[in-house]
Amino acid sequence: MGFLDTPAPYVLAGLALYFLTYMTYSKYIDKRIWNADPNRPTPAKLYFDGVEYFPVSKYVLFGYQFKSVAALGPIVGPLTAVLFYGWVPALLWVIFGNMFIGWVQDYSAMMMSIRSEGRSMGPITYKLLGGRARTILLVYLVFYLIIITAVFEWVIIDVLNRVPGTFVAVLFVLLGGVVFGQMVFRARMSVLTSTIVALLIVLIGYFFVTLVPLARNPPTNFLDNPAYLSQFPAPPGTNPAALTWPGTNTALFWLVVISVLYFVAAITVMPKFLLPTVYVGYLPSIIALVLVLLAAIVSPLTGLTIQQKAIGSLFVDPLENPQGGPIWPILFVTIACGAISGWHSLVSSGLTSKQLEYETDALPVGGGAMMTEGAVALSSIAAMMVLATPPAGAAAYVTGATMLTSRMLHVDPVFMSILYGIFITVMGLITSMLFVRVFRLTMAELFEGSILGNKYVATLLILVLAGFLAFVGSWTNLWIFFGGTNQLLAGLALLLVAIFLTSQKRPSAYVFIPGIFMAITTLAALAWETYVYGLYAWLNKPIGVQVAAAKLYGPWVVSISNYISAAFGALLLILGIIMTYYLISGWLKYRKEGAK
Amino acid sequence: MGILGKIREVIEGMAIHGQATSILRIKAQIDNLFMIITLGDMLGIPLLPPYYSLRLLPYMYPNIQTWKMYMLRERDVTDRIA
Amino acid sequence: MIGLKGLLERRPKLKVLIYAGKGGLGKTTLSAASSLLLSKEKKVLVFSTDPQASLSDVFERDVFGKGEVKIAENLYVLEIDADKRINEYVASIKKKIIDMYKLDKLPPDLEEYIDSAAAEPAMYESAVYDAMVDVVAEGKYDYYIFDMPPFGHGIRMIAMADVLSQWVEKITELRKQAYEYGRVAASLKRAKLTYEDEILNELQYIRNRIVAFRNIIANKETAALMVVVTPERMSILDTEKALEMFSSLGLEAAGIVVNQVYPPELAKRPETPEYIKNKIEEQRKYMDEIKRKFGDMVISVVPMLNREPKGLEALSIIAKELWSPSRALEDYI
Repeated sequence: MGFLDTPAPYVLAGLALYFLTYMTYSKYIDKRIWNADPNRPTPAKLYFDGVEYFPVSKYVLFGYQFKSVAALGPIVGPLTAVLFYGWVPALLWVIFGNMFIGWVQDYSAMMMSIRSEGRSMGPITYKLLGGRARTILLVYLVFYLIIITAVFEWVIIDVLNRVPGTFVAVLFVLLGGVVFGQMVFRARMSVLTSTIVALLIVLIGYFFVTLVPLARNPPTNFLDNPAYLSQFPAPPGTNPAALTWPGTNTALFWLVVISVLYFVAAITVMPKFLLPTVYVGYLPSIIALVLVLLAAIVSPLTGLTIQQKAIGSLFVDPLENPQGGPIWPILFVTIACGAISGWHSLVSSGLTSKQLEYETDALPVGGGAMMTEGAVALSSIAAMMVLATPPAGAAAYVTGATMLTSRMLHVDPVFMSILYGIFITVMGLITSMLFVRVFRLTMAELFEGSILGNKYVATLLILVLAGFLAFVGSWTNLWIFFGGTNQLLAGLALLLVAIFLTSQKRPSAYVFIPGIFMAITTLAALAWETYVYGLYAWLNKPIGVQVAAAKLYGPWVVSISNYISAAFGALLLILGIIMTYYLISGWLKYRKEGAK
Repeated sequence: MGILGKIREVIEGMAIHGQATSILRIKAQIDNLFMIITLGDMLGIPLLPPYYSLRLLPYMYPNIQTWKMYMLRERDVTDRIA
Repeated sequence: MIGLKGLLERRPKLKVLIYAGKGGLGKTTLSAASSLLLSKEKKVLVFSTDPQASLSDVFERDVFGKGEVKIAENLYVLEIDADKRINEYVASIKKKIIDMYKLDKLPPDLEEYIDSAAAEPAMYESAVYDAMVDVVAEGKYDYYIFDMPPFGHGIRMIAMADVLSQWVEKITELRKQAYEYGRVAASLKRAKLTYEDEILNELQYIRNRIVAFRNIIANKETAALMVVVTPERMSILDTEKALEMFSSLGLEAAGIVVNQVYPPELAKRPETPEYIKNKIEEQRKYMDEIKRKFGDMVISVVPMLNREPKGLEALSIIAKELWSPSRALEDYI
């Protein structure tokens, strides 16, 4: 076994390249293109209001930005891409995508916001391209949120089902959150004491689940007959009864459980329930993240070697295997977070840009957080590398991470699998809750005064729609779909920055070229997925794992879901094309004006 | 700041900053209502007799400027992402 | 007409007598006369603010802005300088801000805001009411006679007392919520939170003051709201409006005093100038209107004196008629 047979050199190479990029290319852009100047007052100072605008230390903001951008994205994306194409293409895209596009977008969106009085993407789009472009952006966001919520719901369902005990442990985390909220708000106890108590509750839950086998209930697929499940086509070497299948009773059970959680979170007072849970849930997650990265780096010492295929099939016939797609454009949308993600442009300009103390902090905060997220994606690839036959589904990450870390720490794998089960579930829940909330706010903005803008109606709408797509959909296709919308958002954000720079008479090629690349790639990916969904809906055939749902509820239910997806895809495609047209013509217009 | 201080701040950013900001936003909404009720005559809505609302002014003073900033700023749904 | 005497018999617990109405109707004189009457047996404070037709003139002593001044046995006068009170109050607020935040001077926009607030008429009224509350709360006297400034928007404070009281509770609740959130946010960010308790205290104080004022004015057993009218068209119309306003505020006028009435026998005297006779003839019409409109509410008719109503001696003539009218209302018609 050689050093090169372990994940370590590839992860280290990625980290080294990120570092190199940061020290050279990033600094160059920061100085030459944006002229970041620590003496120029930032919005945090100019528009201080103590609520949204106030200067915050760059370390705090880095942590905040990282937390806001990195959730399940950098984990699920790489693992899906490894399943499709093998680890080499995934690794290359995570490294080079991030170096030339990923951090560029996060950082540039942040700088653009700083130079626009701390405005967020909506108002900036409005200012540069007009009201219609902003409305399209919001409509786009609505569909984006439905799809991403559906994907995350499926990921959570998969982990809850396949890592028994996770649910009980997560209940303890929720309990810890509620107790923390009550202690701080009702009993007026100090944050430190409350944190210790909450963490004790989480720890008790953790040890309860890991040490008491009885607590690892309900078991996988507890509502379905194993004999029945075994008829479904599982990947070679895996047991169908150990996988999560769409449309099964167990999947429905977990879907209802998490939907109730979402709904409660959406209507309760944020600070007293949701936020403490986020806080309490985040602390073990930090440990989980650090551990897996560390384990990937020390893998030569633990004796774990690469088992995963280096390169998979780069082009697939949609009729044979509809779950993947040709490597271009599908790889570039499958891995979003970690390489480049449009969501980040919204985060960068949402709050962080309003709180930067110095302009020069934008690079460490925006660029730094993105490269750190790249490291998370690298660790996710590493977790997949050590698996020979990864169990299909998001729970594969739990298996890989468990293998890496339990070997490093010499502990019973059950300890680590519960930790990563908690990690995925809590992260997924937290971000989906945020998505549900943003969806509700966006709907309220788009349909002000109408029933669709109503808080409860909007929340129910996304839960039902996303729940339906998750329940009968094929999660890999949904993921690609999400990636397509997400990456198109990235392309649009990059082009918007290009317009902004042009309007400021600054060079814009460094964002314009990636922007065009992302726009074309993702429009192609959306077209591909729309085609696949449409084709299968037309043929009245289930896609991949949808076969289970088709068996249980009839093919027409699956086809409805696929028609919905295809319709979403077509709409997003049209909106994306219009938006790209707006952006490119806007860029040309500003360029012409600049030339005069 | 030492390395430990930096790590502590990064963790604070990850686990707490968003929470604190959300709380501040809620507080700001309550404060707004309060400001309108008590110092509403600044906006031309006299609710409390000014003789008495003046008594509150010293305590509100630090908020007045930022309150105006907060009230007058355009706000978009994309500001609420994060 | 029952006179002030009859009113007191009807309401034995009466402590506060308030003369309301427009300026120039002789409220100050009537207040002074009432105080003179009541001070025969009990300790009385007469309270005024109006710097024009002032108690200083009526009692022929400079009492303006001098605090509680003893005029005679049991009779005390308090004529507050409302403008001065407002100025001092405003200055104390400004100083408080400067001290609290260690400023060199107030920011110009804030200074302007405070000054313009201070110049509002409602400010003047509120300052007077506030002073009233102070005096009554002290409880040193058996009777309080108030010569009120003309009612403006400030009197709406009465109607708003309940609403305000609820509001203050709501505001206090809001403040507590905000405080909770602020406290948690501050402790999460390890920052300090200041002044919240003081705000709550101030709110409680404001509420107590407003409710106390309302309780003084609106208590029908202990307070009597007296409306002064003169036999003139405008005055009658104003009085009607005032009564409407009172009922809309949930107040009830205890009685109406008709002031500045020419004695009807004057018309029969040959030496009376012709224009006075005409005036008296006209006055009969208005007295008739007063009787029709206000009827039993009229407790006294006070004659026009042949000289300025100054000094204790002149006052006692008015007081006598006010206390127990020598004629029936019909006699004036």
